[in-house]
Amino acid sequence: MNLRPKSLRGKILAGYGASLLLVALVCLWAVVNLERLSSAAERILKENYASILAADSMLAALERQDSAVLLLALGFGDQARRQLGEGESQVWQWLGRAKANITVPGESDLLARLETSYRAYLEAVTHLEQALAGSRADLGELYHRALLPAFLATRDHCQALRDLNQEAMFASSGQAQAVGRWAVWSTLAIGSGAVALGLVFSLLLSRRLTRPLEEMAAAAGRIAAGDYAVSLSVDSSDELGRLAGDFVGMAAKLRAFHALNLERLVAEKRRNEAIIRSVHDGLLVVDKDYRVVGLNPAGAAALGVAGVEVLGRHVLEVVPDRGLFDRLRAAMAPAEPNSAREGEPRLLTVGQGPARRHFQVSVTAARGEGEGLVGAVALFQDVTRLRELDRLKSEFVLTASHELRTPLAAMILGLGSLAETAAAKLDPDQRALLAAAREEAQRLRALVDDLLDLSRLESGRLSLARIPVSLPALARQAVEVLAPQARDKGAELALEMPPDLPAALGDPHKLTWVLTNLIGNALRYTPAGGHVRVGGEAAGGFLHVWVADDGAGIPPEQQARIFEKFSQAGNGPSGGAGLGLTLCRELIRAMGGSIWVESSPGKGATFTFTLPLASSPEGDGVPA
Amino acid sequence: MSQDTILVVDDEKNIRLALGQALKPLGRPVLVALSGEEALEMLADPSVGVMILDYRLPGIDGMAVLERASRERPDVAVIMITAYGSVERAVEAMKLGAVDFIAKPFSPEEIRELVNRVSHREALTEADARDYRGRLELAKQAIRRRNFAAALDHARKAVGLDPYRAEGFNLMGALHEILHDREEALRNYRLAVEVDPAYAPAQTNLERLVSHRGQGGIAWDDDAGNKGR
Repeated sequence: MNLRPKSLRGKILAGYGASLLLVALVCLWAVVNLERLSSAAERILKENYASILAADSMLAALERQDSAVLLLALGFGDQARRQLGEGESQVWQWLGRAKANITVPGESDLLARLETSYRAYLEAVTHLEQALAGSRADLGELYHRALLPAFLATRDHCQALRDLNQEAMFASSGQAQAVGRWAVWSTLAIGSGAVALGLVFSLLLSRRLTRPLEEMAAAAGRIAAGDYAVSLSVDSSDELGRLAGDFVGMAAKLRAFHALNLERLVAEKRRNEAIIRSVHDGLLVVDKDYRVVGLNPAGAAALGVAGVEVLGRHVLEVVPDRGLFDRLRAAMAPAEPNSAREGEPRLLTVGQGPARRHFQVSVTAARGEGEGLVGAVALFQDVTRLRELDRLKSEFVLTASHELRTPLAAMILGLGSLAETAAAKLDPDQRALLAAAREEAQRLRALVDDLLDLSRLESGRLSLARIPVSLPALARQAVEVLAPQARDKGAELALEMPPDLPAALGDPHKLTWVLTNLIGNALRYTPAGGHVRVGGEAAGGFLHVWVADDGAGIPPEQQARIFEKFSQAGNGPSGGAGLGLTLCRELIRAMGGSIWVESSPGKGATFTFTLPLASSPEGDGVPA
Repeated sequence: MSQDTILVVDDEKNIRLALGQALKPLGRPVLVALSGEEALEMLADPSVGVMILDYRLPGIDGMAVLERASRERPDVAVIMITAYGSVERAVEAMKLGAVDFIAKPFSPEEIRELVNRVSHREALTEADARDYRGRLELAKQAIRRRNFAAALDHARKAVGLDPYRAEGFNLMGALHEILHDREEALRNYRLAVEVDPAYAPAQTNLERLVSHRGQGGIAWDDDAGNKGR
């Protein structure tokens, strides 16, 4: 037999139903008790009150008959007889009623005796009537002897009947009271029991309803935390049971999905690892706390460490070179306006003596979708051979530019002397030719100087100072030097740099050269009436210095290679930049900054370079 | 007797030619030597007052010529021609009394100006050189006469006149270096860099002294005066 309700609704109804049933029981009990009480009252009325009424009526009729006897003796025969008859019929009538309503033990006997004594009384009355018709002398004696005792006996019986019924009535009333009290207490007891039972039912029901929900909530929490191995001990077959079943099924599917994903991820990881291993260049992967999470064999060989040993260790423990760390940090830093720095490869040198090797390091920040930074990847390209070639080239250029100086010196001296001594003897065309030759000789001189600087810089022979420098002061000097040139050209040259800019780290002499070069360049490409502005600001640990003109601008396709050797804006005047911008870039890079150009044709060009601020953490290593 | 003659020592024919032409407007006799040996022979001529000497020479090189000249003709002022701004072994050159340097290439005006300055400096007295420039010239004159203590004194006076110029400090640094006081040399180079960060020679000297512990050349301001080029 299974009485357990199948559905949640059934359970709720059953729970409430049980409580309602108890309430109904209590009501029923109260009704039964009320009924018993009312029936007891009715019984008192019906049983005892009728007998008492009969006894009283009979007593009254007897008294009337007794007084009729007196009337008879006084000679009022007719009236007395009528009164006697009425009394007699009354007594018989009430006696009959009393007989029909025998309720108390002993009442029957009493009525029998009453009837007997009343018959004796009636006989005595008849006797008296007969005697009355004879002599009247012994009338009083007859009354006292025969009539009075019968009358008294009958009256006593009547009184006894009344008393008996009165006592029975009192007893019944007491009984009814007891019934009432019992009803009160029993109703109270049953009511309390019902309340207690109802409470227990409610508790059981609520427990039964909430327990599966609690279990499911806990399981959902575990799943959310990634633990898919949940089981639920909900065995009921109601809606909650079905929900729990579905829930467990869903968790199992999730687990399967997760496992599948994991498998795919593992496969993906293996594939990536295989790719990384097979790359000839060194690869170093760090997480966002700079701990090494990946290093391929080429990378391990490049850094001279064992690949497995370094995993999980901080990158500075693996590569004590702060440059790499700084580059990783720069790449992972929130994008700054001068993000161009990130992409520029820098060199890392490892080892000593003949084993010394150079790596071009490119660092790329790895950002996940939405979750932000996850780490960075550093690519080490072995450029030792390339660098050696580059060094040989720089060496060659260095020697060449040295060698160029002697013939150049002879040319400049000779042309200078010629201009001084022979100019007067020449015609205007010849003088122009001589001036052109002198101008070109000077240009050649500047070019050789730049070339020498560049090759010395590239071969690492030109050492640059890294000391705190006030850029506004340097810019003012450069502007003062070039002011005459600007005046000649009819262009406005304005210094808009706040004088209280923080100091930057760099080589003051070379920075003056860079500023002069950039301003000179801007003046060269600015038409008469144009403007050249020099400004600066500190931002993000760097000082930004810009030189802006409103000249013809630089076409986008030329912006990319404007810093390459011997490139110049095609639509500008001849006698162009040559090596100037290349040298600017190399110098600024060597000082730890970067340089770039923003321009749109017809709207001028803005050259901006950055330098690390003297107070920034990058400004370590001031020569002292 | 007057020492008007200028001796030009260079192995390059065209440089000799052009230099001779460039010096012509000075109206002074010019002798040319194409090697160190020839130069030393010509130094026997007492009229030679100024020698323009290329560092790089076949045979006896410029430094060797300078050494011999400083011994045999200490009265001759020497202008060293260098291939580049920073002078190799300049401490040695200064010890030998050579205080004027000019970098190739240079213009006729530049070399004439320098020759004039050098000649003028020889006759300079304290009475007519009381300004900064003059004091420095006096210091250089003292260096030429190998009187480094006096040179230091003049340089100090120059710096006292204008402590906001780098050249004096740089010269003092170089003098201290010659007198083997590295710490003082460093201090003065640093002062020079501080008062004028854009003054390249002091900076180069400072770096050289820091990195090479005193070996190498002293960077010298080109006497040709082509600063701010």
